Amino acid sequence: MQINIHNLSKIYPNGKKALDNINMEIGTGMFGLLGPNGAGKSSLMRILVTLMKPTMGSVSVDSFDLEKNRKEIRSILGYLPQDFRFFSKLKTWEFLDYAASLSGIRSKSIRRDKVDEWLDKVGLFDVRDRDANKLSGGMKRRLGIAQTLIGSPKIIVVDEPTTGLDPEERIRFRNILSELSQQDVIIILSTHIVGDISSICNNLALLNNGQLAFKGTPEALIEKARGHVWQVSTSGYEYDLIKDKYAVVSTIPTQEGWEVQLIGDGSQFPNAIELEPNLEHAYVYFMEMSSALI
Amino acid sequence: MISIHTIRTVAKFETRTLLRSWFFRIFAGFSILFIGIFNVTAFVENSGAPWIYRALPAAIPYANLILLNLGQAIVAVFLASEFLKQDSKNDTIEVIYARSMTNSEYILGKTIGIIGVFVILNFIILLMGIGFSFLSNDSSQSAWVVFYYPLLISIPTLIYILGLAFFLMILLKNQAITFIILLGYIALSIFYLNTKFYHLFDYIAYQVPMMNSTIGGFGNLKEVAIHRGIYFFLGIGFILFTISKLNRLPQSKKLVSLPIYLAVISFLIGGILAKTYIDINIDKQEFRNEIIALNNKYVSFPKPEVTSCNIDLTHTGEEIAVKVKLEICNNSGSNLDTLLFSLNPNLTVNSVLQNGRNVDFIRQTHLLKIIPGKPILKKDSSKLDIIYTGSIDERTHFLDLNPELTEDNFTAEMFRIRKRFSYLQDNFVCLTSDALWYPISGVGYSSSNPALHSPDFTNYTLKVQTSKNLIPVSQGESTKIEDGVFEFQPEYALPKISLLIGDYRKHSIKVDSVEYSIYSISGNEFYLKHFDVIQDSLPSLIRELKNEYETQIDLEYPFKRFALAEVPIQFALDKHIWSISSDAVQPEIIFYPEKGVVMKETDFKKRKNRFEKRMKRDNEEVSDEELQARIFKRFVRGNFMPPPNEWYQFDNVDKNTYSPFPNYYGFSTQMYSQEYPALNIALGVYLQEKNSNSSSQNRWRFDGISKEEQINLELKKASLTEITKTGLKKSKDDDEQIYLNDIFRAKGIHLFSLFKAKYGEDNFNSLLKDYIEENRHRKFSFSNFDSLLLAHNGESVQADVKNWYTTNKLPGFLIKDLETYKVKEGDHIKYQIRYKISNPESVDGIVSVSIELNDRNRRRNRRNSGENKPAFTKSIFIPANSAQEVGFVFPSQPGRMNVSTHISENLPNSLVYDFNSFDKTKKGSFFNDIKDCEPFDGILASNEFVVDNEDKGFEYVQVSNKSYLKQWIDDKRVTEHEYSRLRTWNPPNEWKNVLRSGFFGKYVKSAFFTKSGQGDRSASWTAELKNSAQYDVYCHIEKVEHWGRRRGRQQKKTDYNFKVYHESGVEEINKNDQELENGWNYLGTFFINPENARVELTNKSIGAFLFADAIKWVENK
Repeated sequence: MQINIHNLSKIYPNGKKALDNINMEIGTGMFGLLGPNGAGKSSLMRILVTLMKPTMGSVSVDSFDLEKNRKEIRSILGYLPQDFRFFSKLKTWEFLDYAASLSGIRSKSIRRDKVDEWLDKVGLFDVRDRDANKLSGGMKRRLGIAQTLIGSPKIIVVDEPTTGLDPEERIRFRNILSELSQQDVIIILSTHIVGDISSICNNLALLNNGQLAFKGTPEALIEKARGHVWQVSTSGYEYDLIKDKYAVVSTIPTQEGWEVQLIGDGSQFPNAIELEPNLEHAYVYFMEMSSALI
Repeated sequence: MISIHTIRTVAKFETRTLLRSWFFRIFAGFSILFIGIFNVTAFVENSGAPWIYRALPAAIPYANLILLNLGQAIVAVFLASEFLKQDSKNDTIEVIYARSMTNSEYILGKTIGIIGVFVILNFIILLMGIGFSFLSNDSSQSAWVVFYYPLLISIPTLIYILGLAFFLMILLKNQAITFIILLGYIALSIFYLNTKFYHLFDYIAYQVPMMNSTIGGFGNLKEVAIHRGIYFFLGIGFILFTISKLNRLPQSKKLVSLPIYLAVISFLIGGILAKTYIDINIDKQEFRNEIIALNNKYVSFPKPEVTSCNIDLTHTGEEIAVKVKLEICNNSGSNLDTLLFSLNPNLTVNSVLQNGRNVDFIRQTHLLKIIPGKPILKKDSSKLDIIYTGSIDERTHFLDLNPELTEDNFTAEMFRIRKRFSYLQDNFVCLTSDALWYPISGVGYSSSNPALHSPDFTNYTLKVQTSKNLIPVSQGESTKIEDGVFEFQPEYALPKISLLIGDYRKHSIKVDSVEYSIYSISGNEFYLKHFDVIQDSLPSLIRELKNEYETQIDLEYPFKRFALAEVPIQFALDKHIWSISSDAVQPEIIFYPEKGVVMKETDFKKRKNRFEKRMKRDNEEVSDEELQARIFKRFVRGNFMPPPNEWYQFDNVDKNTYSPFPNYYGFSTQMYSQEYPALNIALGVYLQEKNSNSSSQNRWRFDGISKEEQINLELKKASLTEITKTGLKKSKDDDEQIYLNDIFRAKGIHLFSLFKAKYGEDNFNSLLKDYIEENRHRKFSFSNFDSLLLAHNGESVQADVKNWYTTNKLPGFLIKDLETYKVKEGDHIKYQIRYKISNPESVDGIVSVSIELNDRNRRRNRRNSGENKPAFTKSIFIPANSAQEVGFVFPSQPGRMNVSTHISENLPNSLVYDFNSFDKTKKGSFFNDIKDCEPFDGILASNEFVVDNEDKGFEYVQVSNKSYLKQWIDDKRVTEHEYSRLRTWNPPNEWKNVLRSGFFGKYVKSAFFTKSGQGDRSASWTAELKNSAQYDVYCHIEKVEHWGRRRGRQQKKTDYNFKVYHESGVEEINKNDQELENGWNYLGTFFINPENARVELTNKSIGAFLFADAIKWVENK
């Protein structure tokens, strides 16, 4: 199964260009959508889950066109939006039951089993009778992921799923997704937290200002940043200069001053050490690059 | 394809959410509680709940749903808009929107979910009503019919208001604005629009008549269904429109426009239904106009007199097949080449035979024109056989009633009830002569001579064939030939006959050769158990009541039967303009509405409890028989022979609605005059009321203007002839509406009272009585009656009657020199009242004086209003341009005198004089007589100058504190008459003219009334004085007791701040309550020039309100 995005653009009525001529394919497995706030991730996702129409371009899922075959596409979709906090007055299990029923599970007993199974999987079984509105932020997220996945969707779109989660819950969440990604499904995960992607995505796209900055594997992205990540030990005066000139990834205070990780050509500094780039470095590098281009 | 599963899923979760909403829970809880209490109250003995709630099985369920619907129509708006608002607020909605379902499925699911919850609530409320209905022994019968109510009332309302709320929310995208618009719309519907355009805008169905009768079913189910259909389809249209406008991408491109098309179709269906609904109502009127136009054309057409009418009627379901044999006589004064009859337009004439031979005939709407073989010569007779079949078109009824003044519904308690005039159903038939179910010679109501109604006195026989289980009821002796076949043979000629067919049970008793019967529909004989022990005493009770009534009217019952027959509650109780009573009163029979619900004293259980309570309180021991006898008498007196001051709870029922009087005059004899047709009702009213007392002295004076006074105002504007032709205008307030019938009554009794006064009471009444007895069971002409008067009194009343018909002049009465003092006669002290009363106008007049004595038991007597009669009453005839000096002497002190001026220029037409003291004692003889004295046309001395608030020298400054909206609304209101109600508990923020006997005025005793303030409103009196001189200045004051919220506490009494202008400036004068007394109050003596003769009054006062009445300048000579 593959999603093909062709010349996709979205311009809001206020003139803001949220997506600008995006072209890409998304295959099965875990696909990360990375980018800063306002990069167009949510717009792209809302288009993908048929909540919004693109201004131009097209999206197809295998032979189904998003514009013409919403019924078919919606029937294989699971979606967890960025905000998932307010519910109507339903209990936790009822909300899940509602989602299961809408996803087409007609049998009451099957639905009940599925609801229990997913409540168990996301660790909400004990609070199944609690009002969904009264769950903690993390629990709500888990309920969100459960409702996304309960109908066994083929395309799962999750927008900023780990925001507000504590590390333990984040790991649990990643594990659920990783487990799912082993099956024949497309999981699109949007985030601005690089760590979420680095651990589980086998493909990713980088969006910045509505444009596709990069598309490929995390390794390829990292490779692009090779030679552009340096560590420099510096005193107070130099530090200010570095901050102005380079994108600083991290700053660690030392006895002499600071140990600074920067993106750019750091070889000019006397004590500069070239670092092995990671995804975070690559992300910053690309953001810098695309900003410079723009 | 729409997925039922998805709709059910969405509906299920919406229902669940709604059931958990506190708003809904509180609403539902309060609804159940409130309506539950209401239901319990309606059934608990002694709760005072009206009988209708227990009597009719549909009443409580109908009431419950109407009450609930009022609430849910408003609550649904909140819930509906909340539903869309929540959708936009709840980010979780996106996970639902991303699911595979169509927008239609989603919105339909939501709607069904919301409606489902309300339906559950409706059924709880309905079942509660049905339960209470069945708990009572008083109401019974099928419960299924009440399931129409949620379908007719709640479902269309909910669908419409939900649809409208969705639609507005989608359109405006703002909950607050949607609320404001919808609440405004709801308020407009409830308080204004729902009575307009035949209730077309009444989406809540509060005014739509839906009462179900156990006899006749719904009044007009088709019309109601159309009305409700309008809102159902408009609601569906709005919901479909909402689907198309939902902020979610449609599931499929193919059917994306389908909801729009369906919405348009729904709106179209709603529109077509609305048009159909309006058309039905407009057609009704147009059809009536068509009939009236034809009647106008043929009103003077010579017609045969029907002397005998033999009707053979077969009742088959919703049709009748009739063979009529008529014997006619040409008394028209000209040869007849066309025989004109009226017959219901829905009846198809199959053949007409004259003396056994087929003759040609023409049908034109309701007219049947028979062309005889050869013209029928004057005084010749002929026989006609007419065969016809068909149903009954109800639009032939009550053509004489002004459609602007009469509605096709009426209200009983909180129920709107459709008026029905006739029934032709398989299980029930009700036909009166207005249904034209048998041929009636000539035409009926004609707007060119509206009061003309002079039916032939005909010898009828009626044979009825109907279902075996049904029993017909009609006039005359009834003979059962076989099951379902009956024959009726009235002993006397009658002006009309009626026919009822139903599953009747008859109970009868013969007393003094009159058979008294009651015909009740099987299952509705609720009264039997309440009168189970008076069987033996019933004859004497009936005899006693009959004697009581006949003593009052001084006439004897001229028929051999008197029956009460039950008809559905919807039966119209309207009065023809020429009739004394309603159409429920038929010869020998009075139709009573289902279980007597629209009557007085039919809740026998409640009455028994009250009597028992009172007996207990008074330690009175009364046998069951005596108790039942009391209840029976109360029922008979309350409905058929009520005292003049009887109060009626239903707006369409008054003391004449069920009056048996037409049997004494009307059905047994009539006076006929082509020229003065209203004389017939005039004579009838006089005969009915000649011995009863005027009741106006007990009337509350809060009312701005009484019916009698309104009639006077109308008669001042136009003569009887003109009013008859032009009709009356619709009054803004239904309570104030007067009808032509009222004018005929008032004017009629006045005319004959004048004759009585002129020719002597005993002489005139006995002459009249003898003449009526002489003409029993036939009609007599006015000219014959006039000849009789001429023979006996030496003068004709032709001129008087003509004047009565054509003048718009009224008598006017002035009273002066009123004195009250004691007279010593031997050892006894007597109390003298004397005064002069003048009628300076050119028309004869009559006043009724009643005097109440200062009796210690007066208050107690007042409570027993039925037996409260003034100690003394007297009618005084005061011819045009004459005056009488009147003196009365009483052994105990009189407390109040009331002079009713009847038809006159006087406003109010009841002058009240309270006598606080008879201080002076005079020696000499007392004066207890009425004698002529010098007529006077004013009550002022030559040196007195008065400016009254009705005079042109009176001006006021109207600064209103009303809000712009209120002012705008008030400006739009049509002021029917210029006098407002004197509401001391809510004085107006502007000057309003009010009437009261204590105010100053020549004929019109009025003053301007306003709320007191800081002096922002003022009034002034400017006199046209002739001389510069010293003047004593007086103000006229009437102290009016304050009725209001603060009555219990010490209320500050009104003081007055006057400014008197005089030669050397202005004098400000304050007069407090203690200084003031009723009548003229001295303000001071000033030298005043003609150019500064002015007095001002401001509304500055410590009291709550004040009056601007009159100022008097008395020149010192």
